Amino acid sequence: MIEVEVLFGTSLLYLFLLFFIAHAAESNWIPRRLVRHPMVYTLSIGVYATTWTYYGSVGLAESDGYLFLTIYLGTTLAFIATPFILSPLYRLARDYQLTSLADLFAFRYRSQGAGVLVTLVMLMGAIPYISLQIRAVTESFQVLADSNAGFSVSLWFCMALILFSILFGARHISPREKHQGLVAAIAFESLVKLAALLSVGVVAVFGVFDGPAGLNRWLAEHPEALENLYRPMREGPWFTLILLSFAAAFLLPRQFHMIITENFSLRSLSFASWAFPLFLLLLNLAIPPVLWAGAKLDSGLHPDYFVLGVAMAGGGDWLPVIAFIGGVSAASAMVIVTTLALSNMCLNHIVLPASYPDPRVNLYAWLLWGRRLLIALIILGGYNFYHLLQHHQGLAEMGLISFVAVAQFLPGVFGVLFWRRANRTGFMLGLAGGFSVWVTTLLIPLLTTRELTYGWPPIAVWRAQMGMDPWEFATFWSLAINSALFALGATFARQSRDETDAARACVGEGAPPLSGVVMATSSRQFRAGLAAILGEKTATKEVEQALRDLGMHASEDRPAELRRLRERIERNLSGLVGPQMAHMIINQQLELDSAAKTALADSMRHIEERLEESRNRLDDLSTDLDTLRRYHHRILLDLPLGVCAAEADRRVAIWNPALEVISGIPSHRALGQPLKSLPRPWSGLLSGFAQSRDDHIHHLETEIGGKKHWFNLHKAELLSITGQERGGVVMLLEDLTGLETLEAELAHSDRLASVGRLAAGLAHEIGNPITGIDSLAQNLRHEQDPQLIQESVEEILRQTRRVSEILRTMMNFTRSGRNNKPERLMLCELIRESVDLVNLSRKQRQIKFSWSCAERITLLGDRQQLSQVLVNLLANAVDASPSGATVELFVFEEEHEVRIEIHDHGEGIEEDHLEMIFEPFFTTKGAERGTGLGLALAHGIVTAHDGRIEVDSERGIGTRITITLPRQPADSLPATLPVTRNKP
Amino acid sequence: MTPPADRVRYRERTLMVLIFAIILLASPLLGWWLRGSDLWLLPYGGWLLVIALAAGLHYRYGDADD
Repeated sequence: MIEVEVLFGTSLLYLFLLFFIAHAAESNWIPRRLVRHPMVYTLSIGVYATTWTYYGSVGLAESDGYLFLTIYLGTTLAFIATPFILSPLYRLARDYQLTSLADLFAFRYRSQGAGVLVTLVMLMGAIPYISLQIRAVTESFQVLADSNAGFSVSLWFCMALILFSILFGARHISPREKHQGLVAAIAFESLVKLAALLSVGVVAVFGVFDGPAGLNRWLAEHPEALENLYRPMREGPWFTLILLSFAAAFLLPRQFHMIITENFSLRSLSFASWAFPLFLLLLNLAIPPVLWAGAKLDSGLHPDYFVLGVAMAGGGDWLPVIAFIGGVSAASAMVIVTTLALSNMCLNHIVLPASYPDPRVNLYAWLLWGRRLLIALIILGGYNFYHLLQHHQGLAEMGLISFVAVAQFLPGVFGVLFWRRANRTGFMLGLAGGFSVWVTTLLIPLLTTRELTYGWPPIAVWRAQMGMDPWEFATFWSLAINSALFALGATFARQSRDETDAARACVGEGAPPLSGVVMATSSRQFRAGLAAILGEKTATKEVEQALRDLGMHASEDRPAELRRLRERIERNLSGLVGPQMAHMIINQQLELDSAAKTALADSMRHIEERLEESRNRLDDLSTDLDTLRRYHHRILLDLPLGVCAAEADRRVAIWNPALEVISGIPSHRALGQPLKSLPRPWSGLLSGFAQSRDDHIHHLETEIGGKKHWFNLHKAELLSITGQERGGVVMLLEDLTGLETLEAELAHSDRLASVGRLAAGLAHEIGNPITGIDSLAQNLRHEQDPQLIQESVEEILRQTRRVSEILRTMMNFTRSGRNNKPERLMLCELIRESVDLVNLSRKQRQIKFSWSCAERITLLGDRQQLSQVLVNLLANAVDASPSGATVELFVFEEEHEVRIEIHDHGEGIEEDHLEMIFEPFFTTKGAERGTGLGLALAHGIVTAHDGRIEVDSERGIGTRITITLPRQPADSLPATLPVTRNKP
Repeated sequence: MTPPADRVRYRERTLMVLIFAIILLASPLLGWWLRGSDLWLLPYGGWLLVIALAAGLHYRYGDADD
């Protein structure tokens, strides 16, 4: 057990620490950016977690398993929906100086009655919740100190809370001021309860179970423990509790106060949309281990106080005190913030309308002391309710009663945010109906019966017949009746003009201007008018504040500006005395002359304001469009292709950096120039292409700076904005020069590789004549016969010519370079040379060639390239043929084509390979005998000559390669031809 | 000023996350993905996933609501 003095002393020290933190924040000893940090704001919303969470969650987990999580999952959903619910509420409260939910409803439904009703419902719903906190602190004290000093503990606790609430929650004259000291203190309290609960959780796992492995062992030995957690999820009122906690997340007085009233920015709200659910998750992480540890310890404590039981069992002397302080934190934060919010509501919506102070009284002081008195009364009300209760209900049950009460505001909030037709009749009827069901099904049973689950007898019988859980029953019927009456009222009753304007303001459409001008014609008359109700001092301060807010001079007398001043004063007063009271004061003291002929001026101002809004929206759209335009322009500029866009008059509009590199013409010289005025050859090339009917030109060859270049050209016509006329043209230039060079090098390499493969035959072919020449030359030294000498010389010359011919053929074949001009070729001569070349190796393998060709057949093409095709194809045929076989070559003349067929009698090509043989690097010969480029090059060359190449093969019979080339009549051929040709 | 497109995207993405969270945590599917589990932390895992998605939205579009 812990000494009573220790608990009292620690609690007192803790409350002093809170005073200090709040004072430090108010006095700016703590940097303002830290106090206003979204994290601090998020922690301050942790006021949601009361002793119900801190102590009661374990009890709820024991009786209802994982249903205890619903209280936080619904809140998570509400916070994720921030852009749809919390942000619009924050904007409304900020723009119209609304400081509580009662203000919000009184403003939207333009009804003092709505404010009163909301305040009463809030008060009745919150009192049980406040008494719950007092009870939890008192009972936790009794558990730890084993003392029966319940009365004095609860009373001292309430006194301390009254003092703290007054000192730091009601410091400012107006509730519209932010209380950053309060925010900092509540955030600190959230940290304390999180740290305390996690510490108890750690002790439960490591102290009671000897670590996670021990916990898992215990769970394996007690499978019912886990089953008891999961089973209620399937059987209990899961969705009802999620709905209730969704509503409670922002409709409980303390939640609305911390989320909306004390908030500094929307950014903080966005941060809290994920950080606050994370805080709740961490807080609840310890609940199951604490529950199981409490069960294992079997201390005889009620599960609601297992947190203390585990702390006492495994945490030495310090942890129980820390756990107790965590509970005090949870309770005090809730009570302080709730009473602040409720006192404000009571003052603005009940006390002020009932007994407005005399104007000679200082209104600010009256409001301040009124609020302080109300704070004390509300806390003492909770204290009395605590004594009234029979204490048979669990902490969670008492908390849920408050949740069902505030859920009655859901239809009203829906009307505020989304339904313009909702009206005060529907709202008040619905709220009264739903609240009556709440009183009948939950409040009366709480006060009169031992077990809430039995309820009031007639209701309990009905509920039992429906087979519903008490919470499901109460929630369903209260919300059903509430919503039905809300909708019926909205359907059959009419909105007042004020309500319609407020509804428009709430859904973000802005209120229309009121007709008429303010009868007061200067700020001095404003002061005089307001002083009759507010008093001289207050009226002066409020008018000066409004002038400052609007940046307006006190001498302002223009009617339109005075109307703005009137609206601003009303908004500011709304933060002081509530929206409905402010509305009444302004309407009464700063009357409008509705007969004044200002309708046109008002409408004009309204139209101007709407135009201004529209202009802002258009500015946003314009920025988006400009960003998009720049993005597209950037794409054109950064393309690795040359881009030239010309306008309708054929002047250059875009000349991108890639085209600068290709053409050597900087963009500043090209832009704005007519295409025809560009330096050559670009003038002809681009203007010609722009006028051409072709949208694509492939492989265009042109000479730039004495060097040949190749391009692919593409263009697209641009239509004018109307879509009726030609607006210009955009042309893309793809530079193929690098690719062409690469292809030429590849072909040359392939030819060299062929020569390498022919080297042995070549040596043999040259070696034989040299040997013959050598023999003849030796014989000549001794030969005297002139005729024989003559014959020997002739033979030597013949052999020499033969060697020269072989070398010439080789040199022609292997020389580098490409893009020779097409020339007229004698096909037979080409075939003969190719056969001779391949023959160099054939002899070693005893392959015979058989070929025939009509001498008159001519072709137009590149001799070297076509020779390479024939050599490659014949060499392949030789390689495929068995020793002693014959490779046959036939030439067929047709009207416009020449067909060359090469047959071999080898093994043939496998069917699977037929589709791949023209692909680069595909070979069946192995790396030492082939590069895999021969047929690919042959295909490329034949295609470039407007021909085609085909292959037929049958396994075991042989292969036939057919080349078809266009035939050129001998007499039609020019000596040289234009260099342009098409290539796919 | 935040481009309206971002604001619209923020609301659309938030709606998607909200629907996902409702399906995961507040629909009959909850019973399905928790069925037969012997992991007591599993419900916290689903909850954490939803929080992570909400955090992603905040860091991507947090300023769009201003």
